[in-house]
Amino acid sequence: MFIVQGVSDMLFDEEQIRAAERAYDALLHETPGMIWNLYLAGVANPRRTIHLQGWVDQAASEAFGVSPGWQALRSQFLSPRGPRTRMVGPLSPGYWSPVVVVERAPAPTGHEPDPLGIADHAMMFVRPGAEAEVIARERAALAQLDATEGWYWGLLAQNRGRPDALIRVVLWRDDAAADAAPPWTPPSTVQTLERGRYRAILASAWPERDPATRRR
Amino acid sequence: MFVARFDETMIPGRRLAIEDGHRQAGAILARHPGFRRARLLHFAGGPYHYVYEIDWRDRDAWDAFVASSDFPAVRALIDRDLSEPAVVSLYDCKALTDGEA
Repeated sequence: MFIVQGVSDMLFDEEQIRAAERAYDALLHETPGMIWNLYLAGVANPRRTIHLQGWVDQAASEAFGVSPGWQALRSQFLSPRGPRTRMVGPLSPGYWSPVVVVERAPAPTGHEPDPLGIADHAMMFVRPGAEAEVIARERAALAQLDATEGWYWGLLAQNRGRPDALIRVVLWRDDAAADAAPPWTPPSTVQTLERGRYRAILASAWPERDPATRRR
Repeated sequence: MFVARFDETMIPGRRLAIEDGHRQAGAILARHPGFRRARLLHFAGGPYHYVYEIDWRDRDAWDAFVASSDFPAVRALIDRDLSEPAVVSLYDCKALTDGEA
């Protein structure tokens, strides 16, 4: 699987941005190679949005990036005053490879006001050279989720161009489940950490397009 | 060997155009004495960042190219698909190891 993550801040026109996100998702319904699409909105910082996409492979994602449908839709994120959103951070948008994926139950799909879950999202830059140690630690930590209730899935992914950059996401049923979870402490070798709680505001999934699902 | 490195940030959606522009730039570079090789590298960790590395025999070869009328043409081909002009930095090669061809 090939993951694309974009972190952005809304500048103005929230309604138009949300409408554009739904139009984007509608286009992905017709896009081969797209497996899942997820938008997260910040709880502490409601202007912050994280957009995560799971693709079959890089070629499918890059073909979509130059497709006429996406080129036409891109303008919906613009306005006469300029872009309605601003990308945040050096790896946004960024390409990521899943390192660990754990799943307890299929996450709900749809868009607000459906209950779609609460995400604990962390993006970290670790001390160069400490990547393997951090991955082993996080692999063990995510495996321990099995003993916990109220979560849908967990993901650890590594940037495909910056091995020291990792993202960790756990999607919980609701705030109560996230609050009851065993606390996660970042590895000691993390040099930069940006962590927050997010609401899932739009989620789509097409597991039948995933070769890994078809093999099971 | 002397290396000119162009750090580039693409305008979203121009992936095919940027590759075509660099192919055209490469054809111009290939006419210049002292040109060795050029390669366009796409950052593996995201869609928009590229590095264009041009190897020259020595600094004099690069300087002669910059003084020629082809330099602005190459810059225009490179910059046309970028969100801001490419940042050029220059390097002396101090160690080179060849592996399997």
